[in-house]
Amino acid sequence: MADAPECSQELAFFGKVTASVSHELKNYLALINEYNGLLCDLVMAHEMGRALDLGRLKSLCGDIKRQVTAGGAVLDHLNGLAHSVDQEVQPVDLGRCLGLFVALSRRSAARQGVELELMPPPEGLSLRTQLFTLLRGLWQCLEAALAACPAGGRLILEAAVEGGQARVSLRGAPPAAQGQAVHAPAAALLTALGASFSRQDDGCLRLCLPLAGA
Amino acid sequence: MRVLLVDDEEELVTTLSERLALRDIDSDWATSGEEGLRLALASHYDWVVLDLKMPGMGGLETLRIIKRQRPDTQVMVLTGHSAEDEYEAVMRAGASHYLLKPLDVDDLIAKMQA
Repeated sequence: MADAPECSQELAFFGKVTASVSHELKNYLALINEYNGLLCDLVMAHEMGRALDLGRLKSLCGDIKRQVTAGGAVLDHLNGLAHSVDQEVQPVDLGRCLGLFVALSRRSAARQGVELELMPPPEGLSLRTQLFTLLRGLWQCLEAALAACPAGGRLILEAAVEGGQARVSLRGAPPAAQGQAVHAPAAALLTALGASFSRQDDGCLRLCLPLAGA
Repeated sequence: MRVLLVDDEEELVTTLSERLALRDIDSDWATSGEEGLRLALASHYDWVVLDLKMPGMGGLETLRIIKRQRPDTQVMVLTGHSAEDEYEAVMRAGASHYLLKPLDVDDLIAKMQA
């Protein structure tokens, strides 16, 4: 099947990620709303003669702070995505990029019942590319893995250096059955990244990317 | 009145359950469509408050089975973001209300008691 036009693929990626993140943020707000509502309920019950449980109030204040912190982190990740188009090509720390990617996509995987885990990548792996394009390439790899991974599965994202290239692997999807189509990132996207994509016999998906200065 | 709360956010259902208890409303909760369905079919609830987007069995599928097997149970569906086609599917499947998060608990109770 021919690749969809680049522009519509970019918009589809942006739309899917922001839809997922906005749902996540709405959940944090819904939780904060419930905690705040419970605080109000307890104060009102106290005004009507019920003993005030200070321990419960402190616990709720802590819960609200925790949700605000978690929601703030989600917003930081969304901001990272928004700024990923600021420059055409820039030095990209692969470890930070993978961290951002997992933060942005973990919920989408979880909605399919799949846990997405990032293994700590080697430090100092640097690429020269557009961060947005790299995130989109990783997203297409994830979509390919999710298409093959059953609910209850676990996907592990990891990076390593091999043959002067950065090798990003997504392990955990079962091996492709005989004759089963292998989803792959769009050819134009791989060209833009200077990357190659492969699917191993064990189902592992690999993206090999040129290191900066290589 | 007995209420079943179903949402994959455990903190949301436990807090909502605590708020309902302060209003003398008895509730149980579940954190998946599968668990919610099991409870809804095993016991009688006047109302099920059901999140639409959950991993595994989603709210719409859970709603359809509950209405098929327990047609007297009334169901309110919760969603983070409203969508016209989603609203129509939910109401066609037999939901009594389609509510947006964040919830207003007093509005929720008013709808249950109407």
